[in-house]
Amino acid sequence: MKEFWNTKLALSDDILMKIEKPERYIGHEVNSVVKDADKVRVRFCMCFPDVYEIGMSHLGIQILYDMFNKFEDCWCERVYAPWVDLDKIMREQNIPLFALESQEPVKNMDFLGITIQYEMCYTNILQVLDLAQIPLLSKDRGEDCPIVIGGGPCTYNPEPIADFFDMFYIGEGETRYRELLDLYEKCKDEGLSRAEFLHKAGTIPGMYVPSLYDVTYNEDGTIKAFTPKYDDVPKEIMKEVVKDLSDTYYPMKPVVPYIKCTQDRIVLEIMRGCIRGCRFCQAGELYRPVRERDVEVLKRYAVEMMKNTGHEEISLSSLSSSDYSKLPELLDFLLEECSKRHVNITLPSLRIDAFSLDVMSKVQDVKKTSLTFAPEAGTQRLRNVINKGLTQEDIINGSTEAFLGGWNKVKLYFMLGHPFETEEDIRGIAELSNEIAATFFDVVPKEKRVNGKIQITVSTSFFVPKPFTAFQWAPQCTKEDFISKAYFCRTAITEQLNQKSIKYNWHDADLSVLEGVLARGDRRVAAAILSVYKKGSFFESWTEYYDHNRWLESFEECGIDPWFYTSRTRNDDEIFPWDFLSCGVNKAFLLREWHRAQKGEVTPNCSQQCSGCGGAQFGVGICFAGK
Amino acid sequence: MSETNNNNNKPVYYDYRVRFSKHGALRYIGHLDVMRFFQKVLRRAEVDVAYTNGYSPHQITTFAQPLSVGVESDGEYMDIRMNSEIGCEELKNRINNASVPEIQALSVKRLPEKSGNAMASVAAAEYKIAFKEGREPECLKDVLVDSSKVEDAIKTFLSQDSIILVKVGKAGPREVDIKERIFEFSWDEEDACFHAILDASSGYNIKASALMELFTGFLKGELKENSLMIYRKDTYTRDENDNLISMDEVGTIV
Ligand code: SF4
Repeated sequence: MKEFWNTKLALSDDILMKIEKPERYIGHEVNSVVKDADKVRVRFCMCFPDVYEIGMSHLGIQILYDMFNKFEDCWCERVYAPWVDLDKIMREQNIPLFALESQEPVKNMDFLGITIQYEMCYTNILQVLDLAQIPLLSKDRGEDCPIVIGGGPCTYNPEPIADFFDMFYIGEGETRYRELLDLYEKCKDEGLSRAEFLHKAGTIPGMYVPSLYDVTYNEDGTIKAFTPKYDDVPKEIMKEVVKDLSDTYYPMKPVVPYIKCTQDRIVLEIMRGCIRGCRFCQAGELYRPVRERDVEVLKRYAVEMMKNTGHEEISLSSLSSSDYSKLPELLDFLLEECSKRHVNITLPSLRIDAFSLDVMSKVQDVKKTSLTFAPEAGTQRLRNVINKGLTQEDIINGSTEAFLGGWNKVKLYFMLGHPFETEEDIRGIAELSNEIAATFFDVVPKEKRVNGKIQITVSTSFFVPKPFTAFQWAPQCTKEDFISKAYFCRTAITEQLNQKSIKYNWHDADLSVLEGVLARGDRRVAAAILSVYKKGSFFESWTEYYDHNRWLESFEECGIDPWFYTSRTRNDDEIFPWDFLSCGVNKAFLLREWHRAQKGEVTPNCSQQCSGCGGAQFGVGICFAGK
Repeated sequence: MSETNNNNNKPVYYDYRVRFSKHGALRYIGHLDVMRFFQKVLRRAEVDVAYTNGYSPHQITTFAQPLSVGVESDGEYMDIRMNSEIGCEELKNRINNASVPEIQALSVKRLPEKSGNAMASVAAAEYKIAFKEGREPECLKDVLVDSSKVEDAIKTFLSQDSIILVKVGKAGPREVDIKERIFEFSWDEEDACFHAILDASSGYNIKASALMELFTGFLKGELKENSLMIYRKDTYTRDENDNLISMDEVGTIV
């Protein structure tokens, strides 16, 4: 019977029997790809620097995993951040971090690709490098280390983590990796060094190699100049964009995990980009212009993926699904196909109107689900400032219809700390919530009220200005401001007539301040990230592992003033750490938007009228639709 | 679509029993995840499973006694309710094509109309148990080298008046005499491992590791941490004469 126990795994049976959820580390999932290592030229390890259940839920990695493995000369594997229990054991026993498929050390791969989705995972990047036994700083890496390459939304300001990466891929991953791998193989054949490869890689469009640039600072700490060290290296790096979303890679056979993951379902990405242009929203700018995926292609993908995964649920993904032009057709198709297959449909947050309520009532138990509105600000004045095109009337009309349809739970999302916010605007949050409750009591007769109640949940997060938005110039609120705003909001809610129907939650202020430093930080911030990691912090997106005092100590030790990055007022002509990158949207357009915000002027969305943001330079998408 | 029986308009179902294995790296997958895994397998296999009604319908399946994490098996069982008839071989092939090498359907039977479900009808489970290299408890080191010594030790262990297992339940620890529930405990000379058939009926399940703990305790020794290799060979039910039969022997091949 002993032969059964001989399984090639990186972790011993003793370890696997001791740790939480060993399934995170054994690979062997359905649709995971195993290739013959001797028959490929490039080993690529793709990492999501958070725990398996979060990382496995990410569509971007599944797309790239599928793409890389379609390349015959490449084997792409996955790795996630080992949870704290295993982390401790790996350090004690000196076990190198391994890729799930081959169970071989990550340090033996050619590339380690890390997707960076949120700032709070920065210390997990260091944890992954450390466990992989790869030097934390790019400059310390030898010839046999993998090339550490970053991608994802946070790379639009890569500077705070620039020291930890050999290079970054700016923009959508489907377009340039083939070229990069070809270059890598060529350099390997010619026996070129790591530095020579990186120099050449830095000339491929979309690639940013931090070591090829110098930064100089003014006396006041702002950036004086950001200059390439070599003539053949571009001054500005333009993001990569997929021109035709209907004709590119899509993971028809996504990996199906054994344990329950955050996103335990098929994800159908229906479009990229958003027409809306909310001034606080970074994703809305980064992914311009809006490009749709053909509805026939999506139908085919959906069926194919249901067959290949066996998932019991499917969901649509995009920044604003209600804006997808063929949404009714797609949903009709899915409703029919899914009911045949007993697959549930999870709807993305749709604009609440007669159409979406009808669809929702078909796929969910109305009594159990909530309506979701994200007005983001409490008054029309402030919604104009942030360019959020959702009016009180929209909300009240939508709620009225929904209440008549049997819904009695509403979730409202707001942000506190927008630029130019006044107490009036915060009180507006309370009043709007009260108004929704009053609407319920107006339109639903007593005998029809379930438990006689309406439940409104108001959540506020604190606004953190992000690069490549109109608010990149805005001073962020201090922690004290945030907290007093939240108290003010709470008090205003308790003063409402229907306050008993309203529940209020708010986010942690410390985290928002730190997120602000990391979001708009420069290269000097890296020292603090390294220091806080060395003090033992990682998994900081998990509140139980977040230690704010360590950050304060680290900032102090590294001579970094968080205020400089968060609450300082920036001049219109300041050079930002991320200015050498471009997401296609011009800085001049963003500045214009910043000024319009101050005046409370609304800018039409891309489908109403083009505002000439710069997105049209890619030659595709909404900028050319019907023109 | 399920056919309807003309007499009382009740839908007609077809119940199948699948015997499956669990090996290698997948021995670390917990029972709940195995159940989730099979839901997806059956969807991928595109077979006509019956579902419950409601907003989130789920497949009508039942599983026999859960297997502990870390144990390998060739004797796991799952009953599936189908809306339409399917050949046993066909069902087995479809499941295996949609599954992974470590979990495979070994045989499929069509169940007679009134057989108890997989969980309720479990009576016993058969195990092979060995020590990992170098992890034998001190008290057994000299014994294990000689088959007759092991057999003697087992014999004296079994000849006790009672064999008391302390079960820790919600209401605190509770002593149970399991002597009558050890249906077999012997030494398998050929495979150099212990062989046991233990009560596995719901509420009375005895884990193979619990037996080994009692046995070592009886020899005034102690099990070392994570020292056992356990393999479940089969799961049993009882026939009309109350004899133990493999759960696999219920039903017919169609
Ligand atoms: S160029 Fe015009 S249409 Fe295109 S993304 Fe910018 S504002 Fe929208």
